[in-house]
Amino acid sequence: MNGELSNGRRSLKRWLLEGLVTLAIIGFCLGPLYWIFATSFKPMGTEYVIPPEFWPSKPTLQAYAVILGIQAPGAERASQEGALKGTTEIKASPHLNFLVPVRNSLIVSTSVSAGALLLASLAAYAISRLRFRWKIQSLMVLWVAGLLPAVIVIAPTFVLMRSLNLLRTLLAMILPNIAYNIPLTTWLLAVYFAQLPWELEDAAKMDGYRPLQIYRKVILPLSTPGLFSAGIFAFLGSWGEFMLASAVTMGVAEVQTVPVAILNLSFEYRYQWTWISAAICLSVGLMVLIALVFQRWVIQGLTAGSVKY
Amino acid sequence: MSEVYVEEVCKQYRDVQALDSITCTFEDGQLTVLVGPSGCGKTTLLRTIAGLIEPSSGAIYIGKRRVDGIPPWERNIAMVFQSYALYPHMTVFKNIAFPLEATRTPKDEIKRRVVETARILQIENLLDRKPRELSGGQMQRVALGRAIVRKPEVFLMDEPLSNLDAKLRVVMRAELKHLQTQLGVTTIYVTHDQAEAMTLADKLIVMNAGRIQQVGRPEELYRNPRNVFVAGFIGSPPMNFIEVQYDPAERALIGPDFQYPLGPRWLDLLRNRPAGTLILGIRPESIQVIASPSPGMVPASVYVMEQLGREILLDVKIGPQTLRAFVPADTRLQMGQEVWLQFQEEALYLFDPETEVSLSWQERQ
Amino acid sequence: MAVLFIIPALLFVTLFMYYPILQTFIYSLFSLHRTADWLHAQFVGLQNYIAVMKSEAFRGAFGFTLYYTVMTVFFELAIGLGMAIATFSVHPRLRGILRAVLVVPWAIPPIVSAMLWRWLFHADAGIFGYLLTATGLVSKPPAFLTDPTLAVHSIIVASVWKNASMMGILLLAGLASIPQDIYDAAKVDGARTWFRFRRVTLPLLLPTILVTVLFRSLWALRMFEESYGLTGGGPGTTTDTLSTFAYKYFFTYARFGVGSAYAMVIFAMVVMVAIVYVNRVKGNLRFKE
Ligand SMILES: Nc1ncnc2c1ncn2[C@@H]1O[C@H](COP(=O)(O)OP(=O)(O)OP(=O)(O)O)[C@@H](O)[C@H]1O
Ligand SMILES: [Mg+2]
Repeated sequence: MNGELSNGRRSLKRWLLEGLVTLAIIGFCLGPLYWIFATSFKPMGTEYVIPPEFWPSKPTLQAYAVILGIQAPGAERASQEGALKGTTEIKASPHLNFLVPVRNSLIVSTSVSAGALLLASLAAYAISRLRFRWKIQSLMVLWVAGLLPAVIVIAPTFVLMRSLNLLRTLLAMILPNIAYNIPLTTWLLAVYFAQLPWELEDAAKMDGYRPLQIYRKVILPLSTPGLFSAGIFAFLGSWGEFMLASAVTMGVAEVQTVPVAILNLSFEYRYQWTWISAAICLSVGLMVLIALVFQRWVIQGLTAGSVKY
Repeated sequence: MSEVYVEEVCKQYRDVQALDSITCTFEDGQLTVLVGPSGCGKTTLLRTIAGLIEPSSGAIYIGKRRVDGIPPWERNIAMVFQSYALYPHMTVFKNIAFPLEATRTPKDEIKRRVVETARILQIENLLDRKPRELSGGQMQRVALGRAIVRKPEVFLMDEPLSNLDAKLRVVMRAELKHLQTQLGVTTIYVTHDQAEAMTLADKLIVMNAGRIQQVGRPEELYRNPRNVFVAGFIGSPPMNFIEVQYDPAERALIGPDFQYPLGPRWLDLLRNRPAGTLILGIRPESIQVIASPSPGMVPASVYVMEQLGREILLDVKIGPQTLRAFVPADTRLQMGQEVWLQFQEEALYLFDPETEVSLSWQERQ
Repeated sequence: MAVLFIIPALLFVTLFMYYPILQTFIYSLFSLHRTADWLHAQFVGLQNYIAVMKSEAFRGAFGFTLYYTVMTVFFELAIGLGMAIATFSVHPRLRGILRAVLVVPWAIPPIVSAMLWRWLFHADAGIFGYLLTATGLVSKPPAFLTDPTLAVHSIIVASVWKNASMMGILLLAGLASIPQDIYDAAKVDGARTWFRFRRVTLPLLLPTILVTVLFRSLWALRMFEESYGLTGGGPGTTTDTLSTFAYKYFFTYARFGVGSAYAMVIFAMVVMVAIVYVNRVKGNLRFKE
């Protein structure tokens, strides 16, 4: 509770205490991740050795090679596994390729971010800068949608995608996810647009620009940071989306996104924790990196998105 | 009640020396004002005394007790903030009671003392309100109440009046002074407003750029500023400064457009000085403006006139230099009109251009 | 004219969020198979709801969902508050590190976090089991995910890890929004650390705490991935939530009617919390005119 003002002489005791507290929090937040990270470098099978090694004595990229399809999982091992699994559905895939779900996820998340940003920025522009009736009501409608549970919309969405013949395609994930991310992105962008100066816009109006031109030529170019931070949320949000993705991909590996693929991997090769760990590291590595690099924006967006709505 | 003594206190921020070896005493029961321009380190010094900032080096005593290293809640001080810093979730009563509750005072005594404090400050009718239901002046009183209720050894006030409008500020200033004299608690008061400083202070400490420039009673500082900075800071409008050449042969100061013969007192003070540049200082109120020439006077021309009601504040030009002076309100002058200025010799100040120190400071003390 | 800007977004949200709610409600009144189309659907009124309410499984899931919500939100708040205060109090340099670290668990997709914890809770080689046996607390690793009581609490632990730091970030913002002068005033007023916390910090943080708790509850009530990924609802149905049931009825048993009834129950619960939440924060939804 010191609210750091007194950074003059700090006692050694205080430094020690602060250091310990910091370490404890780092341990809490990163410990579980570290364990997965360490496991992913263990030679196949050694992850079960007790006592476990906190860092593999012979670190190897074997697990990564397997899940990226560079190295075959090994025929005898696969059959052994099939035997162990008994009745569960076996997909005999001699080559795993985790790059496929990563590619799918990248396509989905990028499209969702682009789509959500486009629609949300238009809406946010109207909300923050134009006058029209039902403004607060429209904003409420958009915003409340962000609080709805996915499970309430999933079945009709599935049916819709089936009737559009979009099941087992990436589009079946992209379109709904755009809608899921519109509420937060609209809000973040509206807040961002609202604090842009009005002078440029007034000048543009004087020059006879229409709202759409102002949006394109004045607001968007000034809003790169805002668009970026809203985009990060849409990207991370759609990257992690599981329920819909698992329903509409219907077990087809070619269109699975990362969350679905990881779960399936863990069902199919449930004794291969080095592989699963490697897959987890590959898929969260990018997310964690994005979150860390854009930490300030993430924190701002998080607080704006929940408490300060 | 006790004296506060600050000894060679330094505070170093990454790239700023906020306090540069400050040594000073705040006498028991007196109101000492810390004054100086923005960013000179007043707040830093006050917060260092409060314990909210730890100094980089040096020692602080309250009474006989050395307090640096002791947390603020053990220093037995009270502070009034510029923002008032009232606890927004507590009623006025709770706000004033807070310091007593924090120090575990019995309930009935708390009640008695809060009511008594409220009576002194005439806010008895506000005790049930929350801070957001108060006006600026009322919040100010509550903040004062919270400070005086626990009878601390020292009051610390950081620009407590600067959020009030001009009229109310003058009223509160008087009340504050009255209250302080009545309670007789050592008070350290920070302001950047020299008029406020002059009216309130038993003792003034003028600071600039993290250093103490001069310490003394207000009239002392006005009459005998130690250097150009203090001379320019104390007094309103500020002292006029003109760069002049001292010519020992002519026994005179040579200005841009004039020659000012020096009297024996100045010649005595300057007797060891070679010819060279000096800074001449003269307060606006010490300049006499005359419409016709007479010997020893400085010719000037009227530039701007500001009618103040009681008198006229005049900007006059001597060559390229502008000087300010007062003339009676009924004086008839025109823009551009030629006038003559008389500098009263005893009201004249000369400063060394290098050190900016007053040449007559020693003598006048 | 300006409405044209907002219509695309509204259209999308309506098509994929509001309209499906209506559909789900209609589904819930029918005996409906996903493979069977509407030709074979049969209107059953509230039959699905009655059947669901009567079932043991529903009561279990309902109880677990509530228990899970209360426990996770409570512990996330406690740990989040602790982390927020710690982060707020340490030296700025350490604070920067901590803020970055707090973001990490949030950035991990929930289903991936569940997978990760499945490994930590592994019955034979899980690190927790090992640590417990190594310290001599238990003789053999506990069955974290297959013992009913342990499974419930393992899921809670995993969720707390995933979300506590996010709570911490929100509370940290709340702490930072309290003016520094107020802390300082309390210090010079003679208040010690604990007294300051209890009498100044906590009451001023209370609105933030309330909103944060409501916000988190909104998500905890619909919890899906943690159960689905960590235990698959097992052992038996002890860790099935209303959401996992709904999902299983939709896509495993292909019974959209019953699944929709489950979904409507979740929806009702979320709406109740959402109403309180929306009323608390809608004051912030202000834009020029
Ligand atoms: N936390 C800090 N970190 C770095 N520099 C600081 C800090 N606090 C103050 N300073 C610097 O120290 C110097 C003195 O600041 P201080 O607040 O004491 O000024 P002041 O005299 O109170 O000014 P004002 O009249 O504007 O309140 C300034 O240059 C300021 O920028
Ligand atoms: Mg200041």
